[in-house]
Amino acid sequence: MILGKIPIRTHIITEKDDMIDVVKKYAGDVAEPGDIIAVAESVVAITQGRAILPETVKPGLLARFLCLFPGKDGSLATPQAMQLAIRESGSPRVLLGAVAAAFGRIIGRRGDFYRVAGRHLAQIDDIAGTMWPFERHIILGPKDPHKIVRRIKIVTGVDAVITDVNDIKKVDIIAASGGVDQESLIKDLADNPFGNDDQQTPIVILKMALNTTD
Amino acid sequence: MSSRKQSRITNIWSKVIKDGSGNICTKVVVEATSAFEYRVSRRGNDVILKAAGVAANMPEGTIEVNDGLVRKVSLIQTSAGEAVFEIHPEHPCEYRVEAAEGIPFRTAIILNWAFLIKMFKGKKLVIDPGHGGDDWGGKGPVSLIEKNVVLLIARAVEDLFGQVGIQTVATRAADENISADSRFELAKNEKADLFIGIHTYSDNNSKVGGAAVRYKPSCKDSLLVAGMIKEELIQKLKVADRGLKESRELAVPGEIPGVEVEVVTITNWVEEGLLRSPTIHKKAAEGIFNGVRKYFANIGGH
Repeated sequence: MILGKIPIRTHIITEKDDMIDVVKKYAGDVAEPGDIIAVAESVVAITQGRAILPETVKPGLLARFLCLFPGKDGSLATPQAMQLAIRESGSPRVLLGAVAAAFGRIIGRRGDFYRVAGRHLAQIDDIAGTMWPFERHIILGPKDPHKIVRRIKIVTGVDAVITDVNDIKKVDIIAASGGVDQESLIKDLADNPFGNDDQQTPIVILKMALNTTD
Repeated sequence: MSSRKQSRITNIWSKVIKDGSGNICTKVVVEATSAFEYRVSRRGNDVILKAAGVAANMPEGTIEVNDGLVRKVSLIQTSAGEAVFEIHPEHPCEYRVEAAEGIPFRTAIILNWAFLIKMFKGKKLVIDPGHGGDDWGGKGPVSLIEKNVVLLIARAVEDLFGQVGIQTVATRAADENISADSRFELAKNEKADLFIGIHTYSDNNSKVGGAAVRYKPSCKDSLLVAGMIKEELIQKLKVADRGLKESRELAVPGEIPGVEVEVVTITNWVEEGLLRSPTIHKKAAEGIFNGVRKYFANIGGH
């Protein structure tokens, strides 16, 4: 059972940081075995150099064409974001995803694009999707998230998850170490303890009942 | 301090709230892993909280707040086990401290906005979301239209001023045709203290970006308030400064100061992306609010 959630304020994390070092530095003296360290996926991606300034992306013809079809408020509505999706999954897969999405639309089914082109593309955050100084960047999903949570567990001795949480109670667990009850965790993170994009708390420690005897 | 291990300061955050008596306050919250001892003192408007038995788990330094009352909060670890929190209000204010058990343990410093509420008493603003109806204004490279997005920002501006008791009158609340003359006349009819137009900028070059404020040239207070709004807006949005510009079309009657805020540049597709975010609308509103607050504080001093 969860006892409380401790949002951890950090410095502004950039591609110069190593995520494991960051977690060790800020969570090492607060989290204990039995707790869960939750890390925001966008920050993991930023440490991996996956925050891309859109002006550095040169969209091709396919990206310019395909970006006309997704919802305009979605993450792939600009040529640059679509070009990054193509870079991530390859042209054939993205093209197949677009065809699947078109058929899906006819039969009233959503989500076919990501099912075919790759679910990792749904983790792309468009401009204004994350905190300053990255609000002008497109942030791709984190690479090797399972490897990162395993390393956090080895280094800290505490279970870890990488999550994508927003203010509309939508929680995605991108990766979790072995001992995490993901169903309960989704409920525990639904109030978005990471806070809004100004709060600079990309790590949240979920204190669990197991550790009450201090 | 108890014999338990040192309390670790994990986070500081703040929020504008209404307290139990309905008073507007800034609540600054220090979160820690357990309770700690503290002493509170004042230095001018600043509130200083000296804590013992603590270690800063979060980075030391300054956190910008800029909510209207509190400019910034800072944390310094002065020695092993001792830390100082400094809260810097921009106006005189009373405060109280409350502690709440829990995980995390929260120590809240609550600062009252009474001074600002008094300063704002009786003030009235006309808020003019630009364009509307057949006049779309600018259009973003993906899909956003100026007349729609400025309405959202104007509502956020009205909410902020309404919260502190400033009366606002909007020239339009929906997608409708309103003539320029009737927008400006409203300021006269309402005996407004200030006319604020909300716009975005458009440019043929999609690389041009940033914020600017246009002002009515025939009234020197217009330039004063335009400068203050621009400074605070850029502080909040962190976009390029496109400067202050005279606007002879801003024909607000009489001595009523008038400005038009070009929040960002809608034809820059990165800034169009920013305009999709409600967080950016709120930040733009906070920047405008802070500029107007500084203006009223400035003219109130004469």
